Amino acid sequence: MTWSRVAAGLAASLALLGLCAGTAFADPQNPKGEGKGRGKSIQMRMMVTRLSNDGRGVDPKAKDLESKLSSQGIRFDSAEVLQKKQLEMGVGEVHTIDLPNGRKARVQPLHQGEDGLLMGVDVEGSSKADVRARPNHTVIFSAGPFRDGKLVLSLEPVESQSEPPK
Amino acid sequence: MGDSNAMTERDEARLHAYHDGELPALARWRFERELRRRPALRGELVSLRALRGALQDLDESAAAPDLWDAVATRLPRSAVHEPARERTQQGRGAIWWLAPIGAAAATAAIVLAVVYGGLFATPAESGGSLRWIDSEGQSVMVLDDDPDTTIIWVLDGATEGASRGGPIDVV
Repeated sequence: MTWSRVAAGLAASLALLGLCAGTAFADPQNPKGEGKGRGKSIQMRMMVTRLSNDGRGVDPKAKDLESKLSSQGIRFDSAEVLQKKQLEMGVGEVHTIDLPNGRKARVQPLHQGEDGLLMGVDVEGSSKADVRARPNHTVIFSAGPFRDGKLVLSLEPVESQSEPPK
Repeated sequence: MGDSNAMTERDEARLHAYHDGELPALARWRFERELRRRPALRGELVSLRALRGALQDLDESAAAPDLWDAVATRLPRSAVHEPARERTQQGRGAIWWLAPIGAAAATAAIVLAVVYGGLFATPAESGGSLRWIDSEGQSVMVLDDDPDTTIIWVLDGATEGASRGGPIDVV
């Protein structure tokens, strides 16, 4: 077999591979690529909580957060939920959260894929990060000191629901 | 009788004839005897041969001969002209245009694979993964042992920083 025949065979194989890969990696749930732009909304639970050791106990709304943090060795005896809401955003859209300590946090969904939501988060004076999270995966950011305690920002993508027909 | 070394027109004619191999055998023998006796005649012959050699060299360098005909006659016939081989080469030419299309398709496949995030991504066992972080020079911990949680914890102040590696008190 000559090199040119090998090259021709390789080219044909690559072409077939290209077609197969394009089919395999295309999102079967989303053949039109919705959600890549700003058209599809992304739901995300957001919560701002003050952690402290002032003996007031843990807010029932923060029980899950307290469990996640304490299991990683982060100790506190009080947790007070200061903000809790569900954000609705488009890919590329920036949502700004005004934190009680005067800082701002910015959240930007970057890409929604089968392996979750890639989002960029910027907590002023603390950290900036790009994190990918599947639905119901909680990403917790420390957001700086506040009133003898510490603020944390929790973000949790919500499983996308099929939109009702308009 | 004049100088035997002096070149006459007859000498010149015989010299050229000898040089070109045109003299009959007896005349050639007589001319060669004369060459031995006459240094001037030998000198003319040497000059004539040198001139012919120089002309040949010039001719060879001026026009490089096409050796294909000479080579082709020495090659096996099948190597020079073989209809089946020509047909194969035509076939190659016919499908050669597939190569760039194949390369383009492969590139598109790689781009698709990267865009959809499946080909080169390590399958994540947990539901989240940190892709990039900047803590502006502050100490930071990333805790993702829990498959349902990723914690990005910037250590504020010396107290919190001193407790790295063990439980962290938030105040």
